[in-house]
Amino acid sequence: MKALMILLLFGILNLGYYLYFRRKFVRYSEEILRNTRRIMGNEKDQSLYREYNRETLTSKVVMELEKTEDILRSRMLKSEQEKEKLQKTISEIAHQVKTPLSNICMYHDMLSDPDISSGEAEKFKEIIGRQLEKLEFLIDSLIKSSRLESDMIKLNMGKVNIFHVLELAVNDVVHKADRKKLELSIRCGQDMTAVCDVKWTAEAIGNILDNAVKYTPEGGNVSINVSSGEMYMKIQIRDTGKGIASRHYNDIFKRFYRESSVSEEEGLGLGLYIARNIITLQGGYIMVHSVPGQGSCFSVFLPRQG
Amino acid sequence: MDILQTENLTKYYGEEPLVVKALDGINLQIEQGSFTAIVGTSGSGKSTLLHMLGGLDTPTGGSVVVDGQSLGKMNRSELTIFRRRKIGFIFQNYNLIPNLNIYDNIVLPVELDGRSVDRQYLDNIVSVLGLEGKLDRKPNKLSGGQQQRAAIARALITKPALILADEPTGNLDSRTSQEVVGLLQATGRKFHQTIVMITHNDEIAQIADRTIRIEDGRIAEGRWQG
Repeated sequence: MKALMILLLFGILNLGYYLYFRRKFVRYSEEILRNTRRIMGNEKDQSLYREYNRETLTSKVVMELEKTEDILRSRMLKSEQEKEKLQKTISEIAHQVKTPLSNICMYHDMLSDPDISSGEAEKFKEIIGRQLEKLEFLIDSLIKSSRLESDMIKLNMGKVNIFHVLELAVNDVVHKADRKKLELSIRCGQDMTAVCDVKWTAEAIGNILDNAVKYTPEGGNVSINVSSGEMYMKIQIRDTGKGIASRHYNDIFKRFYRESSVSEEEGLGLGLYIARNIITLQGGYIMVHSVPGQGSCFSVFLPRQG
Repeated sequence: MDILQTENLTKYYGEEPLVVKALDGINLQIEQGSFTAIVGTSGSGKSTLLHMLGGLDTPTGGSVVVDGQSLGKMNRSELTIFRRRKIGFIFQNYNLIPNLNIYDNIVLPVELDGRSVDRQYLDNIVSVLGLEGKLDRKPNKLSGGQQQRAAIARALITKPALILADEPTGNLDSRTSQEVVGLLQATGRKFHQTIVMITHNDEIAQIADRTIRIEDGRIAEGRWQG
């Protein structure tokens, strides 16, 4: 008899425990569900802050859910921002194209004038030809830069020999450098490698070299030095040119930025912008150090491993 | 969206007439996902500012709001838990725990919170920061740069709303500094983190999206560098 009583008591206690913990669990699940609905409903309801910053299970789950929502929201925002950026690019292209186009129209009109001499006609045709070249170059660069921005570029990443990349890059500037009697030198081991796309990286470095050559007076020198760090390979491009004031360190990488004193020189202000985009897309970065009047040093960092 | 806002933040030490104005009315908005550098000379108030932003110190006046929550309205234990879950810190002298190995150091914030480690996320971070093969070593067996990278991993592991770095390259030579700050930027981008970095070094600061200059406890200049 006593044994039966004890068994019954035991059974009731167990049932009691079960019901108690079940109720707790149900309550807990309801809290989570309520908070989830609130989070996805996008209102930062003040009353729910009492669930934050506490050592409870609910608090941990709720804060983690909130983080997830934040991450999703920021991804959405990012894609909206990219659309806006594209719009801006399109209108910038339109704006830049206007000037050469209107020049072409003007000279074309003048060509249609029957009273001009053949000498003048020749001259006008030459001017139109140059404007067309400029347009071609402009459109090419703009399309390239907008493709880079909207990630439409397919990068062919792989372990690449840096010396080879530099050879390609230098190829494009060697004649310009010769014409200005600049000394061009490369210090790079034959076995130095980094993870990048050969063609695009060569173009980025070519753009930086192009600038170096452009802004260095006759008889100066441009030197390339490659060294390896633990995580990155560093390609330093030094010149003895006019230099850049430190407050402009970031301006030079902006689209269409050209220093006021060089507007007569050829160029659009897109070279460094494109270069930085290319390098950043490959997981690297560019830093610059310069002393106005003495020269500049651009350091291009490329990851050693993918 | 702003992940951080301060309104008229002030920190005064002492009493009239000998008041030291470490921070004198700072108004700041930091956009989510951005990398901001706060630059100033020693004594300009930048470290004090960072301590306010991280809830490591209380202001004399004004407010700090991180991810929609006002730090001033929290009590000490709430603030501790908030910091643990929402903010990642990187210090000049790494502050790794010397008798724990690197793995334990990195996962410490998660374990303190009583949660289990997201192994895949951890592997991802470790790979980006080049720490594979070093996880079972103690901090004293790593170079300065490697220790700081471990500290960055620790700051990332809880997926915080904000990462605060106080002179992260202060104890490193210039070559290692360039690498560490490059990695900081790369991980910020890759893992969608917001980073606020304090430095006195203009060159290190150029890698940020935005530089804010602070002088005598006030903002002297703020420029977007995008």
